Amino acid sequence: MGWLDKVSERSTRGLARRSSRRSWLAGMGAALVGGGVIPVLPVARASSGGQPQASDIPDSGDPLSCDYWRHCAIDGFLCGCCGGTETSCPPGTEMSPITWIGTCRNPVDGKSYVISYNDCCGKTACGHCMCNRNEGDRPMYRPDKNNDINWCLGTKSTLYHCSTAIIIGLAVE
Amino acid sequence: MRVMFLYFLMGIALPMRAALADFEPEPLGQVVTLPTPYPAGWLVVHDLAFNHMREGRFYLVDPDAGSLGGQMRGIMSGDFIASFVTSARRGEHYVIESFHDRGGRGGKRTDVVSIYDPATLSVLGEVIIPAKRLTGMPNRFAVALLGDDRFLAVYNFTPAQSVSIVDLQSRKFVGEIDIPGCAFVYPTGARSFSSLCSDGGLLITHLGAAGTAEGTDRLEPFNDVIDDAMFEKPAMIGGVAYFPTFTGNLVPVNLRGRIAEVGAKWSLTTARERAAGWRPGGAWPAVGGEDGRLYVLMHGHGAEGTHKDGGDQVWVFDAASGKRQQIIKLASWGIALSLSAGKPARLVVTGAEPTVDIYDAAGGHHVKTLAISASTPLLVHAVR
Amino acid sequence: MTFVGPSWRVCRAATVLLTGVLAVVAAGDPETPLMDTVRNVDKARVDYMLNCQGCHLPEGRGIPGVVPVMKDYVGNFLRVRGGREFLVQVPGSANAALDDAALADLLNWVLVTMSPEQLPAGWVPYTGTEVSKLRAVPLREVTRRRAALVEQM
Repeated sequence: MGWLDKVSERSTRGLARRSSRRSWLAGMGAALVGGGVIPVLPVARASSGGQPQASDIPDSGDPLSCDYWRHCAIDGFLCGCCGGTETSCPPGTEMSPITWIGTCRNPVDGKSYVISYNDCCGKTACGHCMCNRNEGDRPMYRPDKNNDINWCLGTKSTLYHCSTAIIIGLAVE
Repeated sequence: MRVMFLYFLMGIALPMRAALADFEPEPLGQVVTLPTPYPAGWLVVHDLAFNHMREGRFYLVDPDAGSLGGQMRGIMSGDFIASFVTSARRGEHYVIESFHDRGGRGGKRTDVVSIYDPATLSVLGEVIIPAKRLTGMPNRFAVALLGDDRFLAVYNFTPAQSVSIVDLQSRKFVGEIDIPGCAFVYPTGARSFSSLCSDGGLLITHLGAAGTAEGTDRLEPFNDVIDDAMFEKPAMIGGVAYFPTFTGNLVPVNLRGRIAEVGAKWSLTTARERAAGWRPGGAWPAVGGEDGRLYVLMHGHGAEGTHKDGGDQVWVFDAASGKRQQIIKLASWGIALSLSAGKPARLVVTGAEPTVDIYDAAGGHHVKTLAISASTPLLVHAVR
Repeated sequence: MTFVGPSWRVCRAATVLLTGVLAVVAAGDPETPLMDTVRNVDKARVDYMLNCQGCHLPEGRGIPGVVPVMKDYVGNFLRVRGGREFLVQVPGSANAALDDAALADLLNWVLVTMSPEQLPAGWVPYTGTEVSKLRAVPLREVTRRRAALVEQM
């Protein structure tokens, strides 16, 4: 949920974000992938039917930053700033089982991963590290692709606290 | 008071006696009553209070006043990202909100339609509805007045999709209508509502005289939900909903009749502007005036994922012809558009600074930034 | 419940896939029953994640009373008249951003991995052609239709 970066900040950073990502993908990321420098764990892939283990995914970036690659469509407070992490809820909250699921491109290996944006629920809003990115987000009449919805559904309480971004698979191109 | 005390100390008894005898104290217990209907142009500014969303507010604002004291005319609360709708016909405001009975630690949730007296901003009554209403970023069409404002429709998402109907005359919950695969309530015809469906089509639900469902109609998919999705946030002009799309087209849908009719899609941009990435965007990207002018919040360098970024320009079109009439360069980056019902009409641009900026809708010049301090303002509603 | 013929083999393959053990064999062996039913297992699994899992939860667990449970249940729809059509026409299926062949594959994957024991013996997997015809006719009364089908089970 949410939209409220400082807007001037958002507009300049948004531009910077887009241009830097483009150049990064076109440059270093592509070079690495193209050059085959990063081995993508054939063992893990074999043992899970083509899906790599999440722990073996090459990573880069700051998980407490909106610009972190797996936050490409996150909307809300980053749980890592609320006592949790990008994959776990803060103490005393409950992770929503119901959510929406999208994909984000990992700049290190150039692959798209499936991301589950489960909200953490049952306490008042965290209020820290507000992020709003919308790659692949679609309007609310496509709820399976929408981040404006309070996804604290199927939980004891619908109070929204913060959002996680959990890698649940490798996208099939 | 202090002066009188000094007189007493100085032994000057006579003037004090006189002062006491003549002194007319300010009356206690006074509460302001507002003039109704409100002067044209007044606004209700929704402050979501996103960082503490159990305590949202709706500020009643006179944008023509110069100072904070003059601008702020009163406050209604709106718990947990509430919706607001006003009925001039019924002379009531409605806040559709959710309460958690243990506050910040949750507890049982109760969804309520709070009915406000516009003159006193006090609650005249309430209707409890199923605790299913969509909670999420505000949408003007999460709730709707239907049938000459007799009924209030509230969109539910649990994630099952349905609509709760309230009879505003009897102040009773009528029932729930399923709209599987479809979302929102866009008032249609005399007593029907349309909902946008995930296949790109439209579902039209017709209410009977008692507010129960009396049949549906469907429009075949016309909305390219993957590659050029229509925003679920249209501008309304004379009963026609003008839906901008992510890549910069516009789809008019005529909602005046019993069955919605989709008009021809047209482009907001020239080929060159499109190539430069000019796209509509924001939390409310378009509004329309009864004079037929369509205002669209635009940003350059648009791409996948920029559809909520807002913009630094407002492009003004003649909605009927699609001809662009004007470009308004905003004083600061905007995130949502609203329009007042005043004369002259004011274009209201909410920024995430956060600011609420008032522009002259006709000339496009920046009139002022409101003095109110909302923590996270978003949609602004015209009220009477 | 007895497993005979193809449904037993499908069931076994599905279990193997779910636990992840030897899945590489299933995926690599064109003779396995799962692969007879689901043309692209990896894609079907990811399509499930991207189009269904958000609400129906991993493995189709659902939440009774909130989101329909598919695990150990959805196969029952193929045992009652109209159930086969319902699974395609329900908005989550019919309106998914998937072409007909991919939707057929996804439905078959859901059936054989989540509810193999409920599938009737000799059931016929969905094809793209069938899905194409069915999804063109939207359901008007989803809740009522589902309740009527469940009553027959």
